[in-house]
Amino acid sequence: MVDAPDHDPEAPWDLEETLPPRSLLESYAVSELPVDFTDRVMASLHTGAPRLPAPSRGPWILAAASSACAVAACVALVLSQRQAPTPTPEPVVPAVAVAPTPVAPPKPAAAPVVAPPTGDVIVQVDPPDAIVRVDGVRIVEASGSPFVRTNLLVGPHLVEVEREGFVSWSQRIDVPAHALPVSVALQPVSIEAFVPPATPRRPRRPTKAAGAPDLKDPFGAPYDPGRPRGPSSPDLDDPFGK
Amino acid sequence: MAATPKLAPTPGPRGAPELDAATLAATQRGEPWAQRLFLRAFQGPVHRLCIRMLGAAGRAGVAEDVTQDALLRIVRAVPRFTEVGPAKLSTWVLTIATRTVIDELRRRAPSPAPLEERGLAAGDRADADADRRAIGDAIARALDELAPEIRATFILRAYHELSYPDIAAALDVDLGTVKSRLWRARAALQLRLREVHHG
Repeated sequence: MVDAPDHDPEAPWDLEETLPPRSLLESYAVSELPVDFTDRVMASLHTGAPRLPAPSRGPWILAAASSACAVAACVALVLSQRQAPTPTPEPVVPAVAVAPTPVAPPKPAAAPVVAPPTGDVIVQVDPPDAIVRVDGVRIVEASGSPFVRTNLLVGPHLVEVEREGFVSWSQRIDVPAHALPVSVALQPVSIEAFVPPATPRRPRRPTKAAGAPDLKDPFGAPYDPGRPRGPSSPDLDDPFGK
Repeated sequence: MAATPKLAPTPGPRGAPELDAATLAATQRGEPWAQRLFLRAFQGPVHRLCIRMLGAAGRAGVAEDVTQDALLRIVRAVPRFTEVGPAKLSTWVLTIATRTVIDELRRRAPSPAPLEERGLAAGDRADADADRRAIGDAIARALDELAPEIRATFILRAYHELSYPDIAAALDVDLGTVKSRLWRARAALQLRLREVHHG
């Protein structure tokens, strides 16, 4: 049973084409960052603070005012000492950061290899927790159906689906050079499959004596160690018949 | 202090410019002017990723805080970034941001917002803006209902246009898992958008 999956028939099945159109996606608009966001990240980066919260207006004004006072005090101090301004120290750079990136040596040009065409198979299964195998190899999906097997060589492959309590399904499918959807709905096993219908019991063969069965030979003839063996009976003393 | 060169972004994944080599090298040396340019280049994409990843959990300034956490981790880790590695800078940045948000979501209990808060009330279809808002809300709601890993896969692909191998590397999963997660996200999205479309 290979048929179309339950999806919009107008939507192509190639996975590259399954995304909604761009105009639709852009309907999910997001807000922009505040203008001072970069400054906050920079401050957090260089002060070592884990994260700086967005400042509210009041504290921001106070902080700006105090910063202005601090700058004015620094300028006054510098002017009074008549010293040349020292450059801002650069952050300590770890050795690994300044190490030049090694340039990989050019690789010799290899002969172009033409890869054989491959395709994917997407097995949608009901119930979704069935076991799916492609060419005998189980496909494991943590959350069940659909099961996707990629990079299969184009051509026939065996898909098997089984689950306890359901009739197993298998089919040889021709994988094309793109994604092939396979939809499988397993049928529950009827109780008759496990419990065959009752058949009338055969009547017991009557024994020679109406009493207890002969324990030495419950199938008929009484056991006689001196009785000659028939031609079909193997000679236990000479099993190879020499 | 060195003169501040102009940022010359080159096209990268959607909304995430690539830094020029000189600015990147200076950022790796810890020069403040370069770090500032680095932040200005990537804070937008990282913020958009965080908001969409957090969804309802990102309200009341949480998304901004997580964005800041992610950017601090990124800038502190940038000396270890090597251009000869498998990932471009923007992909590498989004990878760290995604992992930061997933960590944050794992720490938090889910807190879905009521339907009315998201503007999905039935009377909101009077004009095109309302339609667009309703669609946006439906997308947000569908993404909120996904597991963080599936949500991350979809957002990285749909909004940041990372390639499948890049997403697989960013989330440390194989390619098949990426496709499977995209399939699930798309199914959830279809369901929600169908509700909006058909009322």
